[in-house]
Amino acid sequence: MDRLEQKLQEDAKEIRPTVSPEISDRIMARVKDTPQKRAAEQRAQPHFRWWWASSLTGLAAAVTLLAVINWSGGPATDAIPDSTSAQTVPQPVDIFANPLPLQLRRATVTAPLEQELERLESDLEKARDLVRDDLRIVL
Amino acid sequence: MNGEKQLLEAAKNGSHEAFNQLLLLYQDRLYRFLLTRCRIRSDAEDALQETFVSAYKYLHSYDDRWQFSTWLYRIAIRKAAACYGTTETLEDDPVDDSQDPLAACIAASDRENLWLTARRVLEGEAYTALWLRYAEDMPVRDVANVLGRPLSWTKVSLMRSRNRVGSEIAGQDTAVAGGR
Repeated sequence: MDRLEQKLQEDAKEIRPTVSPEISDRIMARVKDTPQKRAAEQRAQPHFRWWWASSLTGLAAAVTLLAVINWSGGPATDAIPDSTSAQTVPQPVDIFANPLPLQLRRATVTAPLEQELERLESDLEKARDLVRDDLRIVL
Repeated sequence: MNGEKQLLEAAKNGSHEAFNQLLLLYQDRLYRFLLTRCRIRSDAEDALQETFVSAYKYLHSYDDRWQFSTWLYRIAIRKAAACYGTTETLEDDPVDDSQDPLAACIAASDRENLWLTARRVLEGEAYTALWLRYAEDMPVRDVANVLGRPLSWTKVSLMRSRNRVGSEIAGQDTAVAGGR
């Protein structure tokens, strides 16, 4: 320890304040009025928040995944029957006999999801009516 | 130290008597520190009160791997910052000597107390590090913990502060010799 460090220690000893009993009493009076934060209380809040955050994140991820699957996936394909090629009787099907007038259009999603869903449902309803009319004409 | 552990356990369970014992153990040391960081005595007293009230309130969050005094000083520094600020020096905002609580409790001497010199030339955090190391005789690792700084930063800060105070004293000595 050098001379300066020694002097710093000596000079610190020269500072000798004392806390008056009135101040000690005042502090203890405040302490007695102060409720202690229990450990359980302190831990409960972050745990609760974490639970909420993880639930909401999971829910959001699930909704996004469902939306992606429903909007980008094609119609569900029927399961292929379990049969060998020898048992299968080929059916001559003329796929160009009655072509359906399908029009594929790209839609840009700009409105909120609920609105888009409503539009999609009304489009579907119109398409269903068109198909019904076509069927009536054909039959 | 064993007694302190028992007092802490009892205080954690809500014993006011045990906390009062802890208060009596540490109040003078903390008050001495706070007097160096506050402009007026009543501010230091308020900061002392708030330190102990917060310590009692959050006693359950105290980690006993640390010294209790280290934890108390961490709280006291935050409370002192509210009454003084952490980066100013007295050079920026001089205080009337007659009101300075630190000067008032220093025994009369023929030379300026080094801690008054240190407070004049060092910024808040550097001064606090120097105080904890030499006035409180705290290990450097604990000083770093109290300040929430890396050990290397604390060592460098202490070295620079010693140099700064040393050169200030050398300057004063030269001025006194020149005056004669």
